[in-house]
Amino acid sequence: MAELLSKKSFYKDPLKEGQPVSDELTKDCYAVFSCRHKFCREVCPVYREERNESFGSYGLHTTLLSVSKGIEELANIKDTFSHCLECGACELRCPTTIFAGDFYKYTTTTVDLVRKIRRDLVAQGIHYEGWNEVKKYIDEHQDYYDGPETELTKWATDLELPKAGQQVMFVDYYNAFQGTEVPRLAAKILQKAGVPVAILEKPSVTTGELLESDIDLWLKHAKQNLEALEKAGAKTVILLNPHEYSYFVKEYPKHFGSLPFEAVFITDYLWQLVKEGKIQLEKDLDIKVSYHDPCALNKLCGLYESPRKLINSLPGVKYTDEDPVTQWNYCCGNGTASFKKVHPDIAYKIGQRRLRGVADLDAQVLVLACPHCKDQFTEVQTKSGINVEPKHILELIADAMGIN
Amino acid sequence: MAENVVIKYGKFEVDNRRMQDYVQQIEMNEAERDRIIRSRNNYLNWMHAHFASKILPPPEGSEE
Amino acid sequence: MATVLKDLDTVISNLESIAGKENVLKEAHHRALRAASCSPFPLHTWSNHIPDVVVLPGSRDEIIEIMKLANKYHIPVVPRAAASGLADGAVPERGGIVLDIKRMSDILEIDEENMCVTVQPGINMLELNRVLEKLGWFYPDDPAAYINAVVGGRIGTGGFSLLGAGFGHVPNLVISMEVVLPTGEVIRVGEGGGKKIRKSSVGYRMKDLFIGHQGTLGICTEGTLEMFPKPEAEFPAFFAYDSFSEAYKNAYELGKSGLKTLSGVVIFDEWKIDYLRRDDEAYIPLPEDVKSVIATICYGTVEEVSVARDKIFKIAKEGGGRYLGREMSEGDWASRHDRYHIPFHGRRSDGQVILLSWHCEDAAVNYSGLPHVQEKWHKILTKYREKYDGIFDDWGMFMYTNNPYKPWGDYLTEIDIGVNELKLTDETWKAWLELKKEIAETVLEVGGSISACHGGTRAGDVEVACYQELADGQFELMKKIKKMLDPNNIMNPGKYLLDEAYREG
Repeated sequence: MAELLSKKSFYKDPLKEGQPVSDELTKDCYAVFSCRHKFCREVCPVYREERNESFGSYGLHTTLLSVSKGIEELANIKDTFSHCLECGACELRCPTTIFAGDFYKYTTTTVDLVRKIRRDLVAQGIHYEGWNEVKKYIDEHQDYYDGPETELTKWATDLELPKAGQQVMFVDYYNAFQGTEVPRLAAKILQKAGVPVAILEKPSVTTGELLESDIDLWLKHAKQNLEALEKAGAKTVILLNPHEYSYFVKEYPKHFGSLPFEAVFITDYLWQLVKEGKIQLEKDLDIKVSYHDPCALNKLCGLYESPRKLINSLPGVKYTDEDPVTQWNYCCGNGTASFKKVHPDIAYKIGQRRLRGVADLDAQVLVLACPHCKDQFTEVQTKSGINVEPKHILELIADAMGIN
Repeated sequence: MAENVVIKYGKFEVDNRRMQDYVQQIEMNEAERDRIIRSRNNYLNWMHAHFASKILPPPEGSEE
Repeated sequence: MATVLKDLDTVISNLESIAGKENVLKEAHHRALRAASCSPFPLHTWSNHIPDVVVLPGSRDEIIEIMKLANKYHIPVVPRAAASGLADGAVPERGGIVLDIKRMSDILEIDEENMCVTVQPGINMLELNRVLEKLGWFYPDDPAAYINAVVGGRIGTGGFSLLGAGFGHVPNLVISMEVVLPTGEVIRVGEGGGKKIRKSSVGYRMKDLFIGHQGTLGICTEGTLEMFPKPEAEFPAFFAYDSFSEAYKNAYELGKSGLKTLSGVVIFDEWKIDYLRRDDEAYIPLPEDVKSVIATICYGTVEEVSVARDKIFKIAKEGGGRYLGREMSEGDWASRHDRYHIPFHGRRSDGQVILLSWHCEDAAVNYSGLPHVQEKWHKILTKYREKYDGIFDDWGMFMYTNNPYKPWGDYLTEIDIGVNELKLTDETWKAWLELKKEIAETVLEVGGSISACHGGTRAGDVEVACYQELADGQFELMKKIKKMLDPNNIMNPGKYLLDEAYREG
């Protein structure tokens, strides 16, 4: 089972302005403050650009500790807590997590804390700068959700995908409306490999933006997804978006227990098909590439092998690797929730730094496994003119299979 | 102060009785613990390579 | 803050003109977060150390303007690097401006011919080495805080490197630097006047004055550092002994082995071994007959390290040392920065896990003084642990080779103490300061220095440092120099009892 359960039950109680912070939450913050070594700092892509130590695990936990100690008011921390990509680097690099987390069964959980604080503030009408952009995005998706069902699968009209089956590809709202290229390629690849992949008629909205704003609505939608998938007969659910993958594998188990099906990320699934000989990678691509680990896959879920195995199986590809530990420091700049909408300038700087690094590696193409990375790097590449082409791994696989 | 460390599935865990009063363990499954262990091992390999091109083995016959 | 500064609004608005509005932080949490360094912090009196404003300058010229502003309005300036220092150099005593240098983090020049690199003070050593290693170089300053510490703070604290016996410590690794003095003047110090000269006899040897001053004499705005070829080979070997006494004797033999690639010898005492048994989650558990351990580390060419390796095994075997195996040696060496300060390793006397902040009392002690210090320090700590159960914990001792380029002579002797900052009170804080005083005085009994690398400026330590250790004229001279360079007592006032310089005469 891919599920990664890590849950602090005391995060559930909402923090309210003017009310004391619980003993458990104070100790949770103190656990980070007391370390004081701040190995979480240089690994934070936001800190790397801004050089402001208020960002990253130590800064955020100590900020909340100052609220607990009556030095700061809850409302005043709203804009500091918005400066988080929710990428998972700091909480993973934290010595308490990585050296003793498995031993004590207690880890630093900065991403969960940030989501919690943002939700708790929004619930009280305390809005961080940039909230309007995020609210707009959430409302847009809600409109789609409330609208005609056929719109939700419009991206797949010509592909004639069944709506029930044992292998169901979960296509989230970002991929259904903005990044349709990825689910379309995935469907074609799977069809050619002989997999009778199905899609849901009505997925429900479970974006990162909603998760960090309204947990009740997010859970309502998540439950609907589970029910719909079960109803469709899913034994295997294939995920295309690393963010959604991390929700199925980390968030769903927190609230609903064990999944009633196997959740698999697309690269794991395709690698299995390659091993079984059901996918033939034949066309010589003749390119020099490097690979960017999506934060949600590498840092949040520890998934970094199958994309590399796939890349190494593509004919005519010269691959320069940067290992997953080095990539803890990296991010495309989008973040796993609303960071890019709230801090587009910092997001750009983060993406630009990443692309420049690739240009230094003698690679023409940066291979991606995340539709948000693809979108963000494309924008950064256009704006900066850096000579590196972002391509989603499914594009390369489809090319090598002779699709389109 | 020697402690009784719990060893399950080849991995070590603190004696749970030590985390009853002051701070409690969180809910965590084995897969999450495995992810942490794998990350740690990857990090240790990275740290060796960061300081030198190779690690020499001990002299022959020195590992009993 | 202890007092509300007058002219604060004027100062803030001036800072915003100098550094840009987005680089001046006024909210309480931004300031509160920059009150603590790495050493135990009195959380129960947090507000006493919160600065009035934080500024993040982007250039030397901005720092010059800030110092001039501070002198005009008599506002304290407390320089802050990564705040991994353990002597409270970065902790504001009197509010004022925290000058956070971390925005200045560029690599300015890599000179491969002369094998040196010029950097801004806010660059972290790990990040610097990430760049240098692409060209086959490395900067060997390797403290416990390697993953976080920045060059400017390492200079301000005069830091110790775990590889010091092989590659030197911070004072040996800084070739020259640019310093903004408390009055806003700029000085370049090095060996004579050459920026990249390692040894000169021209002028006074003033570079050392600006290393380890704990931010009381100026702010480093640029440093030219030694660059070494990245080592071909690494060889860590850990050996177990039946007693600390046996390990202690063998450390001496290893020290005089004549091996040039031997870059560190670390003794773990019996209490440290017991402490490490608390977290046998990562490595093979230490068997009961392991009472004390020596860790050795070699860096160099493959040929030299191979020969050194064989000699080390011979010396260890002759001294009763048993090799602990590859997994433990390699794993424990690679985790040297991380493993020793986990807050969850705290224990109450009833065995419950409690969250404690790691503190390391460090001293420089000659080899001959180690047994006295080892025995007495544990006695002191036991006294306080028994009285304040759940507030203090004994996490054992390390002794590291301290002499630059030589694995003999003196040792950074540290006792790791867990402190429960969350539960501190005036009484337990006072007890903490008394504990520190007793620890420090023990070291002077054997002719040591109360701090090898942290500094002597913490409450509890500082009277011992200034009135006892430096009583042979050094403290008097320090006061004269301080007053000369900082006539208005602006730069990190209150540290090292240097206020006295302004009260006398």
